[in-house]
Amino acid sequence: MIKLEYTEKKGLVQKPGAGVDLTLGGSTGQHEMTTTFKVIHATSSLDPQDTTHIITFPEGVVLPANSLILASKLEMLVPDADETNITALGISANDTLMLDGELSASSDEVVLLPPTALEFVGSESFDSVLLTTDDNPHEEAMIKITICYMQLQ
Amino acid sequence: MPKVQYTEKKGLVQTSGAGVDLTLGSSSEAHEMTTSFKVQTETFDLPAAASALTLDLEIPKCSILTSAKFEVLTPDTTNTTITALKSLTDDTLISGVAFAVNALGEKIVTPAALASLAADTTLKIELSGNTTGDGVVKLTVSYLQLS
Repeated sequence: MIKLEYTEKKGLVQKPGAGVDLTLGGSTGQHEMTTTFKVIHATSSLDPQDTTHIITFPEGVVLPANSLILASKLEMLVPDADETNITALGISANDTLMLDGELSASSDEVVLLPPTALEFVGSESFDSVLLTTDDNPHEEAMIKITICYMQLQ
Repeated sequence: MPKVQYTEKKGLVQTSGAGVDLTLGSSSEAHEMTTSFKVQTETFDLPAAASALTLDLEIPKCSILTSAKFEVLTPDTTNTTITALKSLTDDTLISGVAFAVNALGEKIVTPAALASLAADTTLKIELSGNTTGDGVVKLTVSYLQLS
Protein backbone atom coordinates (compact mmCIF):
# COMPACT_ATOMS: atom_id res chain seq x y z
CA MET A 1 0.00 0.00 0.00
CA ILE A 2 1.32 3.38 -1.01
CA LYS A 3 0.34 6.78 0.33
CA LEU A 4 0.83 9.93 -1.73
CA GLU A 5 1.77 13.16 0.02
CA TYR A 6 2.41 16.60 -1.40
CA THR A 7 3.94 19.42 0.61
CA GLU A 8 5.38 22.67 -0.70
CA LYS A 9 8.65 21.85 1.05
CA LYS A 10 9.18 18.29 -0.19
CA GLY A 11 6.99 18.18 -3.26
CA LEU A 12 5.48 14.82 -4.11
CA VAL A 13 6.46 11.93 -1.83
CA GLN A 14 5.24 8.33 -1.83
CA LYS A 15 5.44 6.34 1.41
CA PRO A 16 3.81 3.30 3.04
CA GLY A 17 0.17 3.88 3.88
CA ALA A 18 -2.93 4.73 1.91
CA GLY A 19 -4.65 7.84 0.67
CA VAL A 20 -3.77 11.19 -0.83
CA ASP A 21 -2.75 14.20 1.29
CA LEU A 22 -2.22 17.57 -0.34
CA THR A 23 -0.64 19.94 2.19
CA LEU A 24 -0.51 23.51 1.00
CA GLY A 25 0.70 26.70 2.56
CA GLY A 26 4.07 27.82 3.91
CA SER A 27 6.60 25.06 4.42
CA THR A 28 7.44 26.49 7.84
CA GLY A 29 4.23 24.90 9.06
CA GLN A 30 2.77 28.16 10.28
CA HIS A 31 -0.12 28.27 7.87
CA GLU A 32 -0.41 24.86 6.31
CA MET A 33 -3.70 23.15 5.56
CA THR A 34 -4.14 19.61 4.32
CA THR A 35 -6.79 18.30 1.95
CA THR A 36 -7.11 14.54 2.28
CA PHE A 37 -9.00 12.27 -0.10
CA LYS A 38 -10.09 9.02 1.56
CA VAL A 39 -12.41 6.07 1.14
CA ILE A 40 -13.91 4.09 4.01
CA HIS A 41 -16.33 1.22 3.99
CA ALA A 42 -18.54 -0.81 6.30
CA THR A 43 -20.29 -4.15 5.93
CA SER A 44 -23.16 -5.26 8.11
CA SER A 45 -26.22 -7.43 8.32
CA LEU A 46 -29.53 -5.64 8.54
CA ASP A 47 -31.54 -6.04 11.70
CA PRO A 48 -34.53 -8.25 10.85
CA GLN A 49 -36.44 -6.88 13.83
CA ASP A 50 -36.23 -3.23 12.97
CA THR A 51 -36.45 -0.60 10.23
CA THR A 52 -33.40 1.34 11.41
CA HIS A 53 -29.96 -0.18 11.05
CA ILE A 54 -26.63 1.04 12.38
CA ILE A 55 -23.79 0.21 9.96
CA THR A 56 -20.57 0.50 11.94
CA PHE A 57 -17.19 1.13 10.32
CA PRO A 58 -14.32 -1.25 11.18
CA GLU A 59 -12.60 -0.58 14.51
CA GLY A 60 -10.60 2.63 14.44
CA VAL A 61 -12.26 3.92 11.27
CA VAL A 62 -14.42 7.03 11.41
CA LEU A 63 -15.95 9.56 9.09
CA PRO A 64 -14.01 12.49 10.52
CA ALA A 65 -15.23 15.90 11.51
CA ASN A 66 -14.93 18.63 8.88
CA SER A 67 -15.31 16.11 6.08
CA LEU A 68 -17.18 16.64 2.85
CA ILE A 69 -18.85 13.50 1.49
CA LEU A 70 -18.19 13.38 -2.26
CA ALA A 71 -20.14 10.22 -3.08
CA SER A 72 -21.08 6.79 -1.77
CA LYS A 73 -21.57 3.31 -3.13
CA LEU A 74 -24.17 0.95 -1.75
CA GLU A 75 -24.20 -2.75 -2.46
CA MET A 76 -26.43 -5.52 -1.18
CA LEU A 77 -24.01 -8.39 -0.61
CA VAL A 78 -26.95 -10.61 0.28
CA PRO A 79 -30.12 -9.12 -1.20
CA ASP A 80 -33.15 -8.97 0.99
CA ALA A 81 -35.55 -11.83 0.36
CA ASP A 82 -38.50 -9.53 0.93
CA GLU A 83 -39.44 -6.47 -1.08
CA THR A 84 -37.93 -4.07 1.43
CA ASN A 85 -36.79 -0.61 0.36
CA ILE A 86 -33.97 1.50 1.77
CA THR A 87 -35.47 4.92 2.34
CA ALA A 88 -32.76 6.90 4.10
CA LEU A 89 -29.01 6.78 4.60
CA GLY A 90 -27.13 9.27 6.70
CA ILE A 91 -24.90 9.81 9.67
CA SER A 92 -27.68 10.34 12.14
CA ALA A 93 -31.43 9.94 12.37
CA ASN A 94 -32.05 13.50 11.23
CA ASP A 95 -29.51 13.71 8.46
CA THR A 96 -30.09 11.74 5.25
CA LEU A 97 -26.91 12.90 3.59
CA MET A 98 -26.58 10.13 1.07
CA LEU A 99 -29.96 9.09 -0.27
CA ASP A 100 -32.80 11.08 -1.75
CA GLY A 101 -35.53 8.62 -2.64
CA GLU A 102 -35.62 4.90 -2.10
CA LEU A 103 -33.65 1.87 -3.21
CA SER A 104 -34.69 -1.73 -3.40
CA ALA A 105 -32.85 -3.87 -0.88
CA SER A 106 -33.71 -6.97 -2.89
CA SER A 107 -31.36 -6.05 -5.75
CA ASP A 108 -27.64 -6.88 -5.69
CA GLU A 109 -26.72 -3.95 -7.94
CA VAL A 110 -23.95 -1.58 -6.91
CA VAL A 111 -25.58 1.84 -6.67
CA LEU A 112 -23.57 5.05 -6.84
CA LEU A 113 -25.13 7.70 -4.62
CA PRO A 114 -24.47 11.41 -4.95
CA PRO A 115 -24.78 13.32 -1.67
CA THR A 116 -28.14 14.99 -1.30
CA ALA A 117 -26.27 18.22 -0.56
CA LEU A 118 -22.59 19.01 -0.42
CA GLU A 119 -22.28 19.91 3.24
CA PHE A 120 -19.51 19.39 5.72
CA VAL A 121 -20.17 16.66 8.27
CA GLY A 122 -19.65 19.09 11.14
CA SER A 123 -17.50 19.16 14.25
CA GLU A 124 -18.21 15.57 15.27
CA SER A 125 -16.70 12.33 13.93
CA PHE A 126 -18.95 9.36 13.21
CA ASP A 127 -18.08 5.66 13.55
CA SER A 128 -21.24 4.49 11.80
CA VAL A 129 -23.96 5.40 9.35
CA LEU A 130 -27.66 4.95 9.88
CA LEU A 131 -29.83 3.23 7.32
CA THR A 132 -33.62 3.17 7.35
CA THR A 133 -35.88 0.67 5.59
CA ASP A 134 -39.61 0.85 4.99
CA ASP A 135 -40.17 -2.57 6.51
CA ASN A 136 -38.32 -5.15 8.57
CA PRO A 137 -35.85 -6.81 6.19
CA HIS A 138 -35.19 -10.49 5.83
CA GLU A 139 -32.76 -11.84 8.41
CA GLU A 140 -30.07 -12.73 5.87
CA ALA A 141 -29.85 -9.34 4.20
CA MET A 142 -26.31 -7.93 4.24
CA ILE A 143 -25.13 -4.57 2.96
CA LYS A 144 -21.85 -2.84 2.14
CA ILE A 145 -21.47 0.91 1.99
CA THR A 146 -18.39 2.71 0.68
CA ILE A 147 -17.92 6.44 1.22
CA CYS A 148 -15.47 8.74 -0.53
CA TYR A 149 -14.81 11.96 1.35
CA MET A 150 -12.53 14.94 1.43
CA GLN A 151 -11.21 16.11 4.78
CA LEU A 152 -9.80 19.51 5.55
CA GLN A 153 -7.46 19.93 8.50
CA MET B 1 -0.89 12.90 -23.58
CA PRO B 2 -0.09 11.59 -20.10
CA LYS B 3 -2.75 10.69 -17.57
CA VAL B 4 -1.91 10.69 -13.87
CA GLN B 5 -3.37 7.86 -11.82
CA TYR B 6 -2.99 7.13 -8.12
CA THR B 7 -4.03 3.82 -6.61
CA GLU B 8 -3.16 2.58 -3.14
CA LYS B 9 -1.66 -0.54 -4.70
CA LYS B 10 0.60 1.04 -7.34
CA GLY B 11 1.04 4.58 -6.07
CA LEU B 12 1.48 7.29 -8.68
CA VAL B 13 1.57 6.14 -12.30
CA GLN B 14 1.51 8.07 -15.56
CA THR B 15 -0.22 6.37 -18.47
CA SER B 16 -1.39 7.52 -21.88
CA GLY B 17 -4.59 9.50 -21.78
CA ALA B 18 -5.59 12.71 -20.05
CA GLY B 19 -6.71 13.80 -16.61
CA VAL B 20 -6.06 13.00 -12.98
CA ASP B 21 -7.66 10.00 -11.24
CA LEU B 22 -7.30 9.35 -7.51
CA THR B 23 -8.49 5.82 -6.76
CA LEU B 24 -8.75 5.16 -3.05
CA GLY B 25 -9.78 2.15 -1.05
CA SER B 26 -8.27 -1.30 -0.98
CA SER B 27 -8.35 -3.03 -4.36
CA SER B 28 -8.29 -6.44 -2.65
CA GLU B 29 -11.52 -5.77 -0.80
CA ALA B 30 -13.41 -4.29 -3.75
CA HIS B 31 -14.38 -1.04 -2.15
CA GLU B 32 -12.49 1.37 -4.33
CA MET B 33 -13.83 4.74 -5.35
CA THR B 34 -12.26 7.13 -7.82
CA THR B 35 -12.19 10.92 -7.78
CA SER B 36 -11.38 12.26 -11.25
CA PHE B 37 -10.56 15.84 -12.09
CA LYS B 38 -12.05 16.40 -15.53
CA VAL B 39 -12.57 19.03 -18.20
CA GLN B 40 -14.83 18.88 -21.26
CA THR B 41 -15.18 21.40 -24.03
CA GLU B 42 -17.57 22.09 -26.91
CA THR B 43 -17.49 24.66 -29.67
CA PHE B 44 -20.92 25.52 -30.99
CA ASP B 45 -22.71 27.88 -33.38
CA LEU B 46 -25.16 30.16 -31.67
CA PRO B 47 -28.77 29.34 -32.60
CA ALA B 48 -30.51 31.35 -35.28
CA ALA B 49 -33.60 33.12 -33.99
CA ALA B 50 -33.60 31.26 -30.70
CA SER B 51 -32.67 32.11 -27.12
CA ALA B 52 -31.60 28.68 -25.89
CA LEU B 53 -29.39 25.90 -27.18
CA THR B 54 -28.99 22.31 -26.02
CA LEU B 55 -25.37 21.18 -26.24
CA ASP B 56 -23.80 17.79 -26.78
CA LEU B 57 -21.85 18.15 -23.53
CA GLU B 58 -22.95 15.68 -20.89
CA ILE B 59 -21.61 15.57 -17.34
CA PRO B 60 -21.87 12.16 -15.63
CA LYS B 61 -23.91 11.37 -12.54
CA CYS B 62 -22.16 12.03 -9.22
CA SER B 63 -20.11 14.87 -10.67
CA ILE B 64 -19.59 18.22 -9.00
CA LEU B 65 -19.44 21.11 -11.48
CA THR B 66 -16.74 23.56 -10.40
CA SER B 67 -16.51 26.13 -13.20
CA ALA B 68 -17.36 27.05 -16.78
CA LYS B 69 -15.42 29.16 -19.23
CA PHE B 70 -17.14 30.86 -22.17
CA GLU B 71 -15.12 32.17 -25.13
CA VAL B 72 -16.48 34.00 -28.16
CA LEU B 73 -14.55 32.75 -31.19
CA THR B 74 -16.74 34.56 -33.73
CA PRO B 75 -18.97 37.39 -32.51
CA ASP B 76 -22.66 37.19 -33.28
CA THR B 77 -24.23 40.12 -35.13
CA THR B 78 -26.88 40.58 -32.47
CA ASN B 79 -26.06 42.13 -29.10
CA THR B 80 -27.16 39.31 -26.82
CA THR B 81 -25.76 37.73 -23.66
CA ILE B 82 -25.55 34.20 -22.33
CA THR B 83 -27.45 34.38 -19.06
CA ALA B 84 -27.28 30.88 -17.58
CA LEU B 85 -25.88 27.39 -17.87
CA LYS B 86 -28.65 24.88 -17.28
CA SER B 87 -29.41 21.22 -17.56
CA LEU B 88 -31.62 19.89 -20.32
CA THR B 89 -34.34 19.56 -17.67
CA ASP B 90 -33.97 23.27 -16.82
CA ASP B 91 -32.17 22.98 -13.50
CA THR B 92 -29.93 26.03 -13.18
CA LEU B 93 -26.29 25.03 -12.78
CA ILE B 94 -24.73 28.49 -13.07
CA SER B 95 -26.83 31.65 -13.06
CA GLY B 96 -25.79 35.24 -13.68
CA VAL B 97 -23.39 34.35 -16.48
CA ALA B 98 -23.87 37.75 -18.19
CA PHE B 99 -21.53 37.06 -21.09
CA ALA B 100 -21.95 39.13 -24.26
CA VAL B 101 -21.69 37.12 -27.47
CA ASN B 102 -21.38 40.04 -29.91
CA ALA B 103 -17.70 40.73 -29.17
CA LEU B 104 -14.56 38.67 -28.83
CA GLY B 105 -13.82 37.81 -25.21
CA GLU B 106 -13.90 35.16 -22.51
CA LYS B 107 -15.32 34.75 -19.03
CA ILE B 108 -15.01 32.17 -16.27
CA VAL B 109 -18.04 31.64 -14.06
CA THR B 110 -18.66 29.43 -11.04
CA PRO B 111 -21.76 28.01 -9.37
CA ALA B 112 -23.21 29.93 -6.43
CA ALA B 113 -23.06 26.69 -4.44
CA LEU B 114 -21.54 23.33 -5.21
CA ALA B 115 -23.97 20.53 -5.93
CA SER B 116 -23.63 16.90 -6.90
CA LEU B 117 -25.48 15.87 -10.04
CA ALA B 118 -28.03 13.14 -9.32
CA ALA B 119 -28.11 11.95 -12.96
CA ASP B 120 -26.17 12.22 -16.21
CA THR B 121 -26.73 15.85 -17.19
CA THR B 122 -26.84 17.31 -20.69
CA LEU B 123 -25.98 21.00 -20.70
CA LYS B 124 -28.00 23.84 -22.16
CA ILE B 125 -27.29 27.57 -22.46
CA GLU B 126 -29.85 30.32 -22.16
CA LEU B 127 -29.54 33.73 -23.80
CA SER B 128 -31.14 37.07 -23.08
CA GLY B 129 -32.74 37.11 -26.52
CA ASN B 130 -32.64 35.65 -29.99
CA THR B 131 -29.28 35.61 -31.71
CA THR B 132 -28.58 35.99 -35.41
CA GLY B 133 -26.86 32.63 -35.45
CA ASP B 134 -23.57 33.68 -37.05
CA GLY B 135 -21.60 33.64 -33.79
CA VAL B 136 -19.39 30.81 -32.52
CA VAL B 137 -18.76 30.16 -28.83
CA LYS B 138 -16.55 27.68 -27.01
CA LEU B 139 -17.61 26.35 -23.61
CA THR B 140 -15.22 24.54 -21.28
CA VAL B 141 -16.47 23.00 -18.04
CA SER B 142 -14.43 21.58 -15.18
CA TYR B 143 -15.82 19.12 -12.67
CA LEU B 144 -15.00 16.40 -10.17
CA GLN B 145 -16.38 13.02 -11.17
CA LEU B 146 -16.91 10.31 -8.55
CA SER B 147 -17.17 6.70 -9.61
